Amino acid sequence: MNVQGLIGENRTPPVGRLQVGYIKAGEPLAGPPNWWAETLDAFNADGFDTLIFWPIDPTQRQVDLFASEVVPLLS
Amino acid sequence: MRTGLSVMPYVDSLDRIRGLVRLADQTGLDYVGIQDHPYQARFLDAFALIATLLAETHRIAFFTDVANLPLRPPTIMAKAAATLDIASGGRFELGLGAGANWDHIAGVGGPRRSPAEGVDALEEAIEVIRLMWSQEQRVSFNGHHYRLKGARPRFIRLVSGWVPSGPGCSGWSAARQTAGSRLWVRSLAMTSARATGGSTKPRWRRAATLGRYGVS
Repeated sequence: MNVQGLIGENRTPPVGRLQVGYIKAGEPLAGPPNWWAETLDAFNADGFDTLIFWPIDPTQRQVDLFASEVVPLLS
Repeated sequence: MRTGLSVMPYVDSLDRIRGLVRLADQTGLDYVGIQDHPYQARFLDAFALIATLLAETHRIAFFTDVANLPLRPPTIMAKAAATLDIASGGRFELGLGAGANWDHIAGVGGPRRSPAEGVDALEEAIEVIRLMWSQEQRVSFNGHHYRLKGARPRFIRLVSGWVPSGPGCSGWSAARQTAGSRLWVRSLAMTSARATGGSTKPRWRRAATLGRYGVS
């Protein structure tokens, strides 16, 4: 499952300001790494065994945060 | 739990894409997903981009997130997927989408389908792809959207299987029930077969996605 959002304390931009290609059916997720880990674990508990981070800020910092601070916290 | 990164295939961001994918490969993520919107002028072609990135990486797997079925005949997509899978040593998986953005699809010559028709076509396409990955000498299929007559599927020998994934798409009935009311119930993912050197173990690996959590 794709999970679209931003890792960190900042708020995500309104969906209307997202570039073409982003899903605008709801607000992207946002929160610090431990919040992301809890959220992804909950998805996993619901049966999703593969979770794909879809950064709305596609920077190396976001990918690094996901790989180094979110993934290690996953159950 | 497997984890991955979805990368937007913007034409003007190829260097950035390469950097993100390289980082994902190096940091241990399992997958990179690439959107497939062939009508989108700002996007690179998903299959060609994945082939390029597969050649530039060593470990991470890629999948179409998700492949645009209305604009890609399933027979040809089956061959492309199998080629990527084998050429990469099993690092490609095929995520299939029934389609959305029908004005754009029709604008470049594709069909215009209702949500229910899209799901029907997707179901047929999965059967066609199964047949094209089979070891039969010749295959035929007579669907509403797709037809095969004496096709020769054994262009490549694939020995393992795939399954649809995710609670929202674990059964076609669920998709059918929601297709009429939720346009975004369009993407049913499945994994590609993998050449495993003779192994007959099915692969229960799973790819993307129904777009957002809560589809089921």
